[in-house]
Amino acid sequence: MKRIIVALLTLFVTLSCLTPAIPDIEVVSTTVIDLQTELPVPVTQTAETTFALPSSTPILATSPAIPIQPSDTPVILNSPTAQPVTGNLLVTFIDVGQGDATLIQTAEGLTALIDGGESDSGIVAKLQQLGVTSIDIVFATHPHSDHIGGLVHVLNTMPVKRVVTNGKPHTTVSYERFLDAIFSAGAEYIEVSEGDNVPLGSINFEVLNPGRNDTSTDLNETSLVLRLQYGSASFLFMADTGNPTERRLLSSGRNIKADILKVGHHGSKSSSSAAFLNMVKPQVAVYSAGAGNSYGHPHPATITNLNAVGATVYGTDLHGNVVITATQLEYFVATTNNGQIASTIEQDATPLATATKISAPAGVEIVSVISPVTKGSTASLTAKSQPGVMCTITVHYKSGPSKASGLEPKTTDGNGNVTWQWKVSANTASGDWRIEVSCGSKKTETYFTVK
Amino acid sequence: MTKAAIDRFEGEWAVIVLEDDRRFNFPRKKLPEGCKAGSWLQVEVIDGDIKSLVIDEQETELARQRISDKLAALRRGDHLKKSDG
Repeated sequence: MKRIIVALLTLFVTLSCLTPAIPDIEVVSTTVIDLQTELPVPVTQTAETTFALPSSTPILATSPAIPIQPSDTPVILNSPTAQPVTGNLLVTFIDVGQGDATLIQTAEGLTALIDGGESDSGIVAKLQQLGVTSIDIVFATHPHSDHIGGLVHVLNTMPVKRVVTNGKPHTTVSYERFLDAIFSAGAEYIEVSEGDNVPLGSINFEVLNPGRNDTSTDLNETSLVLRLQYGSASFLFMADTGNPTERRLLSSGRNIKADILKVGHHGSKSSSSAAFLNMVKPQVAVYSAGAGNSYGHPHPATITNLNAVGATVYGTDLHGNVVITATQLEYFVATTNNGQIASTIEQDATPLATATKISAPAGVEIVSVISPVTKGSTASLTAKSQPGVMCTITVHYKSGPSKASGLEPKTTDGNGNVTWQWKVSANTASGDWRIEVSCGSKKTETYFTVK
Repeated sequence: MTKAAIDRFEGEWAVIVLEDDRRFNFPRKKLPEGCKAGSWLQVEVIDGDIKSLVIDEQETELARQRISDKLAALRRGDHLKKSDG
């Protein structure tokens, strides 16, 4: 009960007192997650650099890059009139289609943008919708167009103080335009690698990748990996790194634990190994991918791995913008869409998780799907929506949509459930195949494996 | 023919970005020999599809040199010196 009160008061304080304001989005799903207790790791300062701005620049404080200790007691939250010592941190995983863009807004009103999606991602308008008109730090994690393309427009249209990169060049039009845009913007240009620290006011980005003597030829593996601690909430932003970087991080001895994981490489199967996720132990995992993308992002194996470590998974393709609001003691997850990720495990039965379920508007959710299915045997999928809603199912094999009998439109029962059963022909190609389910105007999708 | 470069590979696809910012997924297997991420190409686009493409080694080298010079200038902070007058 105490947890409920604390959480509700926190919500009240969050919504009423703190800056920056909650972004102007329609929050249809809100989850409060208690944080694991975790002591900050001291920031080592051997040959590593902290890139504080000169003290004459008022915008960025040059305070030491040490994570803030959480308060000993939540007493301050018990009085709605009390002003918290520090404000909130907002981290918004912006829906930019197939690409990446993450906005960080501090209580002091400072902003950092990690990547900007493709050049046609509409990132500038999306930032303006979130009330952002200038950026203190742009991080370009690596020079692929789905990460830097949109940054060109950001640099060309709003003030940017500093651009931080991994220093790895690329011989493409997109990258050349990005360099030109930094020139025109007159932004400070900095290259960082493992062990460097990039402060933004009272928060600090710890750089975990690329390594000091990185020789990767795959630009994805050279991506900036950043870790951020706020209060007792920790974030790990993996950019497009995959298994080789995960192995390097595992053996680096650095703290890679994180409550909130930005999933590597749009959820592709070459990222998010079980060994890596077991060390990170995320409670919340967010991937960024375009709906119906050509690359199979996210891969079902990644979702399975994330679920296996108990993470609640959010994707920008299904949830739209995913916003994390961190206070000193806990954090909230809000999304613009009420998407459902297939086979996401039930959250812990905390009172607030229950409240989330009750308040969730009617969408469509995959309850279960048999996978893998052997050729020649019967597949089955159960979905849940509102009672009495007409639902359709489409199974996309390599040869196109399945015409198997049993896949006809059906109406949900009194509990909102609907089940389809169909035969997987002996001629069906092996692989992971997409299944779309629509109930009324709501859609979701999952994958199943044919062996 | 239009200038383009291979931005990256995503599984079986090569992502090709044209000078006018148009993007195409092109089967990696169908690329001419010697193509790498960052290779420049001459592509022929008809009805919104890449009909043919050839690798352009010379343009690749020119771009590498040009970009290398721009990056060196950024690292020196030439663009900041200018704004100081």
